[in-house]
Amino acid sequence: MIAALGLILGVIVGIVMQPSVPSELQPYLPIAVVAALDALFGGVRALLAGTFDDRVFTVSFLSNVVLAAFLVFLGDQLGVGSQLSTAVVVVLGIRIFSNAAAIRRYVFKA
Amino acid sequence: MTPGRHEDGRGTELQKDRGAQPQKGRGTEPRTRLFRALRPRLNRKQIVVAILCFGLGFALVVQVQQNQGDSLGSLRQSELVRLLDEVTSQSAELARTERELRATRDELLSGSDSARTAYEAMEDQVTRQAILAGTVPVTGPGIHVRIIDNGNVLDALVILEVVQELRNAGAEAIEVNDQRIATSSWFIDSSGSIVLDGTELESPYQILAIGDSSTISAALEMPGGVLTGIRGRGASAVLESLDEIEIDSLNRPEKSRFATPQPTS
Repeated sequence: MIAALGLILGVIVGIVMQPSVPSELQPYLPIAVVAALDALFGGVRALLAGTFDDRVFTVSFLSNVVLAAFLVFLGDQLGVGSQLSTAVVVVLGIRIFSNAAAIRRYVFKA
Repeated sequence: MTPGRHEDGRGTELQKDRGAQPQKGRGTEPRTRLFRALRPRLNRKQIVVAILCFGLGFALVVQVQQNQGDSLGSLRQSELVRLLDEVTSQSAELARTERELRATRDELLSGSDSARTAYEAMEDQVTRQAILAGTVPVTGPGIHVRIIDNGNVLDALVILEVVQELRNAGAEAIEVNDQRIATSSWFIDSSGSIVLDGTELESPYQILAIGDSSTISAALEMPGGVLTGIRGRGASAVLESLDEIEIDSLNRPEKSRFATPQPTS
């Protein structure tokens, strides 16, 4: 409940403040957002499975974000930035879909 | 949500609690677990998760807005370079098109200019030719010569001499007894009277000429000139200069049967 409130609050604050992203962070923010979404779906799945642990969630959330951003950074340094960010988005997308499927099975039993 | 629940003492209790939670929920249905999780509780793990979710929502919205704000900002350097190349070549192409169109426009403008000049020159020419051919009524300064020949002492040659003299003196339009003199005009003596273009002329002969009246007067009145000759024969001739002469009679040239203009290249 508090988590959902936090999410909504974050959206509202973002809309109200309309901050601009610093140019150094611009390539990494979209990937980081996708990684965080993956962690969020994983957390919801764990919650429904009854194995939710806030420490695991926190660590996976942060490590996902940092790793995704690092991969994009590395890709940029190697000259394959766009390809590597596509790869990261694909992998995270697959994980999000499988997590969403698990959540659906838990909630609707289908 | 009250600060009172945020005591330090509860922290250790929660640490123990965390380990027990999964076992407690394992037997229950997932939906029950979901509803239980949705119940508002304020403990540390909820707050940590809430903070992370806050960050996620914030970043999501910021990124979406950034993406809508300017599409170039989120592009990579290589993509920007490619875009710049495209725009540069496109602008070069457009500049080339502009040059071509400008050249075409200048060409068309000068073309219409020269066409207008040619048209004006042609109109000028038509007016001049019409005056020369005597096909238009004309007006202007000139002289009026009145020759009275009661004794019938003059012949066609004398009148022709007057006309020649007028032409020499630069007369632009000449009329004799209401008949326009043109390039095809002719004089002939016929049974004691003078015939001009098939029409008999009768005394007094009224000759009108448009041109520089002082030159014409001097030419006609010079000693030993044509008017002196007429007077010497016993006829009278009066010349007066006028500021405004109207010559209304027209020459109707016949269509040329043999001569056709040479085609101009």
